[in-house]
Amino acid sequence: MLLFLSMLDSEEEKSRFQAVYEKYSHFLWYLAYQVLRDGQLAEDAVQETFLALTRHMDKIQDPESKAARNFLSTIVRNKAIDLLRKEKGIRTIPFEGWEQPAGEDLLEGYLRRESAEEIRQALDKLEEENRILLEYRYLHGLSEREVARIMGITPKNANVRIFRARRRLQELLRREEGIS
Amino acid sequence: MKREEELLAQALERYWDWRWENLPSREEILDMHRFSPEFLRNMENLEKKAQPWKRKRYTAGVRAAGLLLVLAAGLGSVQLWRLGGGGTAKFLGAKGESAASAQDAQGSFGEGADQGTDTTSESSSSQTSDEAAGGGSDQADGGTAGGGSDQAAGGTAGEGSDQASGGTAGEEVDQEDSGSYGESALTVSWQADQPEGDFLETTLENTGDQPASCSPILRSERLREGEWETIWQREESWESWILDPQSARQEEISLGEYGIDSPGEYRLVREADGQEITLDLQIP
Repeated sequence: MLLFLSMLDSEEEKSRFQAVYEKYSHFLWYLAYQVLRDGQLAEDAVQETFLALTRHMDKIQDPESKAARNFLSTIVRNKAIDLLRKEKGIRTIPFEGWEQPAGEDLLEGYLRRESAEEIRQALDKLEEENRILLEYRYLHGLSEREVARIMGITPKNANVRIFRARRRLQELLRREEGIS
Repeated sequence: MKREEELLAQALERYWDWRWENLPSREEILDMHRFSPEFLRNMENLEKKAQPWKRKRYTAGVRAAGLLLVLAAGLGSVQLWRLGGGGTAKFLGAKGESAASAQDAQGSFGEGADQGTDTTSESSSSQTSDEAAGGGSDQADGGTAGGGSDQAAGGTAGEGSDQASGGTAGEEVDQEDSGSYGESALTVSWQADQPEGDFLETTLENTGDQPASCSPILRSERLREGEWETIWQREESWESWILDPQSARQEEISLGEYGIDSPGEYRLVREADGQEITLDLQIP
């Protein structure tokens, strides 16, 4: 009986996986291409995305949903940036014990004051890498451990990078505020 | 979720709505680019071999069975180095490649008719990284990296399967009948150059014509009284990466980082295409 149930589950997930591929593969290629400007490398990014997806199928409950679309978009740009780094020989600066300062997170104040549209505009200006981190954490609701796993970094490093991304967004919002 | 986090999530969602509204249509993208036959073949193999819907049920027993298959094929050996007191080393042996029967898997992953591309491809010896990725996921989730495979390394497949909810390795393989550990041809070799002090330059090479997945080093082991004992194991999460066909990747390893700092026989363990490969070291 258990085996039977597991087979049903298999078919359901298999069908979801295929649906995702059929619906999004070309768009994912395009998103990767925007980062990489190389068709072949963009294909590699798409392939890596589907590979990663095999570990995170639980995040794709409905292939038609915005949540699924956005999750795939985040992963593919994550993979594209990884490939770009590899191509250019850029190495990520290792975590060196930087501590998150205590006290109020100033971003919270901005988030309270600004409208979602203003924040969206700031997000558009945010560097792709920082945006990806924020997407994993806040848009897709991944825990720091999950962010770490999907990005191939340690949870502590994920925590630090997410904090830095928030700080960077805060800077952009502050700049916008100064302009207006 | 805090209000601020909700706002951020909403803004990110708006951002993506806006980006998707500005993406070209599928047809426009198809005018720009069509997936290469290699990509389609890899995706087909990914679908056949990843089988993520079954991956989480792989157990230590399956790993053990897979490793035994590798060992049975005479593939598990690697390079042996004898490290002198001053950090010099002597080469003792060489690593072989695995060869096992190709997996037969159902299902296909062809491109849609809109591309008009021939997606038929032979379904044998591809080396996608899904199995390794699955292993990683399991280990990370369970926080017991290498736990099951430790036993496998010691040649006790049956014990390994005990960890897996009371079943035997054989039973688990039967249940997960498409389990492919040990069934695909392993084309990844792991070799080392002459060490310099504490550092060892190693090379992972994929001699096959399909991409292969590779994990980072998952653990180091020391031979004590005929048993391999884990002396270091990766605690943090990890993800496999792809080693392209006919390509190699070099890594510099600090032996001390893996607890290899006194005389003895050691080995480093990682996964390639879901199968464990080792790099053996001997420090006199």
